[in-house]
Amino acid sequence: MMSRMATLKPIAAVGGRVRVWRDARLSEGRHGDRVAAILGIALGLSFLICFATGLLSHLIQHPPGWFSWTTRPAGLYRVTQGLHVATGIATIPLLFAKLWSVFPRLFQWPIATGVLNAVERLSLLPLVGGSLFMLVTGLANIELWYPWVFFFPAGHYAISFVVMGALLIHLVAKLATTRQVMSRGEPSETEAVAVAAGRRRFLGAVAAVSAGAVVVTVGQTVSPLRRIALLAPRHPDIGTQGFPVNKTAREAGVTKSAAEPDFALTVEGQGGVLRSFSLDELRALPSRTATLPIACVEGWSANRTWRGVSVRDVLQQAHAMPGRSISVESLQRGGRYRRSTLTGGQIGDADTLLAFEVDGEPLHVDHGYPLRLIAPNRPGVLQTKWVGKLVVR
Amino acid sequence: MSTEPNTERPSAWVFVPTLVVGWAIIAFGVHSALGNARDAHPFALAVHIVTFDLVHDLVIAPVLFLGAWAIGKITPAVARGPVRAAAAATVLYVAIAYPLVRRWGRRATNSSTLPLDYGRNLGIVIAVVWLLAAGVIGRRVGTARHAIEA
Repeated sequence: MMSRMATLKPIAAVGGRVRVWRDARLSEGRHGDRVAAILGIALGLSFLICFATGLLSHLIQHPPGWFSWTTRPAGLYRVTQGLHVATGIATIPLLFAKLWSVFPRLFQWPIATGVLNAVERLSLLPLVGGSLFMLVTGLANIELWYPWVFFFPAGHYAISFVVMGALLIHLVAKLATTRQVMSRGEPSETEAVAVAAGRRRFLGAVAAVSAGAVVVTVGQTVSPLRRIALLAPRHPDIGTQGFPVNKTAREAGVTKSAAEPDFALTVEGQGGVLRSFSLDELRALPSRTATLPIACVEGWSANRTWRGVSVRDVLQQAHAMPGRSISVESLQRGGRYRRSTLTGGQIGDADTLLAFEVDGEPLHVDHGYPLRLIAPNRPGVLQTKWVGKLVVR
Repeated sequence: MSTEPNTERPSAWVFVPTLVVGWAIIAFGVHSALGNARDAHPFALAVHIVTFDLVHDLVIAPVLFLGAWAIGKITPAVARGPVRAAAAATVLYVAIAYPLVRRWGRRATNSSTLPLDYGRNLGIVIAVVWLLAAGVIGRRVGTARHAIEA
């Protein structure tokens, strides 16, 4: 009994010190309820924006039967995906500030006040770990760095639901506190003015760091800010023909096949090959010029002027029966994005082009020579390069 | 002033359905990972999440608190806040830009990947952060002097 007491004594002493440290931190404005509530509201909004725009991007890339995506406005995806990435970057400082602010509460004793509180606190594990996972892997993805075994979109998609479920629980658990704290007015009568000033300065600094992170990266999609995009992983003006390349011809393994002199675009229907077009035959068709953005899922985008033939004109020339969808297939032999699908309005839109020129020059092979798909309001990964076949389904 | 965290709780009538819906959404995410195990590698995802939890709670947060405490010990009161903020911003921007500076995602066959001089650019960003902090400290010192003179 005596030895047990002797063992417990140091533990109790440490526990007492932790409690003193926790109480001292919680008396500071930056660790108080109001900071937690304000940062919580900001994080709730930013995660909601990221989730909505991310889910939209997922649906566009993997459309279920009930989903159809508009072709207009042509730059809408550029905006939603740019917003997704910019909001994600802005969220990084917000999340660390919030975690830092509430860290002393981790040492709450007793650990839980009841079953519901225990389940709520358990939900913090997927919330904190999942939020960090989403932001860290999302950032690494736009920086083209993949130090993990999973396919990024699959992991990012699955964990986004884990985070949103845990966030819902946390928001409702904290709703009453947030409402109470926010309705107090500032500074409250019971609160020292210095504490309120410290809190305002802390929140101001967090907002400034968050805004700074966006300002030095968002120029990869917001053209007027490209000169100060010091930490942007891509620059909209740098790359072959003056804009970035996601996958080069060499990386895709099409350098030879794209340069074949007897290249032909094949149009297939249900009964087999309907017609083949040489490059000269395609160029002889009425051409069309359209200024359309190329908007990458990693958040960069660039407006370019493309010249080519409308997919609908090519289908008409091939006497293809209008189908429900068109599979646009690349000369690439493998790869997840070697084919993409056009449906409904995308097929009918005159600006859905098989382009052979960009900004008045023949397409470089890294941008998809001899032909690439460029259509309004589509993610870059669906703008198939080195198109060799259209299959009407 | 009370230092106890606010303990306002939602009623069980609201919270229990929320727990059910919230955990159902979490279960959908887990189901999505398990259903697409070849791409999603659910075990690796779980390991990552637990690792992020542990690294934050056991390493990042304690180190940040120690750093804030150390800055408090070595800087005068008038500069403490701005120096802490600038140090935190520096750590964060370095963490964000480190893979860019090291060019971990650069592909030798694609000149448009990570095309900027990120080491120099990160230096500029950090310099701006500390200039702003110096400006705030200067303004505070000036205000304090005026107050003493008045």
